[in-house]
Amino acid sequence: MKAKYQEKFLVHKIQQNGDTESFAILYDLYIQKIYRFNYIKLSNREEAEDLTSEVFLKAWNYLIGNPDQVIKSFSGLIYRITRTTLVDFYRQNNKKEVSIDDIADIPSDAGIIKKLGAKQEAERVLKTLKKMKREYQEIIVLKYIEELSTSEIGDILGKNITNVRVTLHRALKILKKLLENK
Amino acid sequence: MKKIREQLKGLKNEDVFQARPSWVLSNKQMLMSQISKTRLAVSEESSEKKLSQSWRRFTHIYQSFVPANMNKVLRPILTAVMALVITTGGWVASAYAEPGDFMWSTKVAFNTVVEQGKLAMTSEDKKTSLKLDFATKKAHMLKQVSDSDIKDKGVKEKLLKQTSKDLKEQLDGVNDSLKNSTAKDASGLVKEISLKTKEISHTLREVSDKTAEDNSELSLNLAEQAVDASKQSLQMVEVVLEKKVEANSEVSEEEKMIIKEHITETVNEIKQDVEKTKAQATQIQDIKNSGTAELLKVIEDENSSSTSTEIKVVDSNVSSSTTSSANIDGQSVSAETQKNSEVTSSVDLSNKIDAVVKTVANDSVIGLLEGNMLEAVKKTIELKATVTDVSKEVSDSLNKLQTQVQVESDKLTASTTTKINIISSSTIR
Repeated sequence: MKAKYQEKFLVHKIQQNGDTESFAILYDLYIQKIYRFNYIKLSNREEAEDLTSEVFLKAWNYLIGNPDQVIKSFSGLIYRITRTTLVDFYRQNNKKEVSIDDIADIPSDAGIIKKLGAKQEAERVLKTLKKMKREYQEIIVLKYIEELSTSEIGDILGKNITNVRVTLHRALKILKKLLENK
Repeated sequence: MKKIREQLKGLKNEDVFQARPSWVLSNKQMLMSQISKTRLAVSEESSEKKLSQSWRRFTHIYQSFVPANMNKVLRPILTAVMALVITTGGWVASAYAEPGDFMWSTKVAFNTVVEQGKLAMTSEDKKTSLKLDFATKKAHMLKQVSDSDIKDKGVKEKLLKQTSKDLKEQLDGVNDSLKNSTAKDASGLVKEISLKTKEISHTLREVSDKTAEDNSELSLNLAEQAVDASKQSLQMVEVVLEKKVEANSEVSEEEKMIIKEHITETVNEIKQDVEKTKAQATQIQDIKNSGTAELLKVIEDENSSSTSTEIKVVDSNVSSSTTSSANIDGQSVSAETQKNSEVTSSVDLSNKIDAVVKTVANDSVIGLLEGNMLEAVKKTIELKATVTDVSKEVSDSLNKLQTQVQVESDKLTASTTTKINIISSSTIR
């Protein structure tokens, strides 16, 4: 709760005073999360880095461009920006979201995953996740990898808490089914 | 399912999902240099609109930090808190306000609201006593206004008028409340009513004397109000005594003593008023006997007959210089003169004064005090009313006479000057 209010305070300072120091603190808090989210989607380090950088710049511009806008949570805002940036990226590059086969085609990252050795099972889960619908992927990533609360996920995806719970339950069920079928 | 969740959580810590520290740092530096340019623009803009943005900032903080679901609950609480702060602040500030201060009117208004609130919460049997308290407080306020050092005379007079008006309303309220109260409730109020109403009447006299120098009209009004208050005071004692009889309640020794004191004081006031009236009557007589009357007579004669421009020299005590009268172009110098005879020839007035003096002199009221208390009060009220009426009549006559003499004297001086000018110019020719 304390961290949440600290974040709100930082956001307020950015909106009202254009405080870069506050933005630097938020950057440190979220850079790994946003990079990870992008990387899971893109499975490409360079592209994930570029997109992450773009996301933070967009977040800054949004905050100072909308000083009267009440931001419920910074995490909600930055994940929403990340999602739209990813959609734009796919559209601009005429790319489809990476499939399980694409992951195998990426030499560098595929190598890293293979290096995990004992973590074969995790690799299998990730690959199965990639086969799922975008909506299900996102909700699983946000809930179990990024460990966000249901209300935060609702805020990011534009759904109410009940919808998030239902979708999450369905997504997990499908993931389980896919893993069992493999 | 649990296993899947754990596997997913485990993915988070894999090295492959961690951004390179060197990239994180370099990207941060690049980002900071990019955004610092936009920061400048923001700060310049905000400095221009600093004042207008204060409220916006407040609402932004409120909306950002207060959860939406708490808003519904917090809003009425905050409103109540703000109302409380404003009211308490206003009350604290006004409680120490002096007459003429900005907060004085707030203090008066606040007192009125408090009084109404107290009255609403008080049972019927205690309302008369409470209203009496309010009237006493109002009299104190009147004294406070009178003693204040307000430099603007107009403001002070306005405040005095308003406060005395409020006091009159309060006293009327006490009177009504007393009349409507039951015999049982009213019978215990002798002491309180006698003492407090006397105090109010004294305060009014005091303020009237103090105001005499600055505003004679206001002073006269206050003096009249003091007389009314004194009369009302006795009337209230009479009502209480009647209620006591109705309730078969005995007048205690203490109450008897207070009433005796009250009546004795009122009789003394009556005697003073009689003396004052006698003095005024003598003054009227003096005017009638003086040269002023001759002057007025001359004017009357001229009004009825003369169209000439002849100068009449009249011996007058009013003016040391030669006073002349004239009727230019046949016009009347004054129609007011006609009324003079009505005022000065008032034989009834002196008869009335004589009758009052005789009644007061034989101390019939004081004689009644040992026997019938209620009768003594009634007699005193009657006597007070008679003396007040006669005093008012005499006082009015004197004022009218003095005004007429002044007006006529001014007009005579003016017309004489005109005539002298005419004669001088014809002599020169």
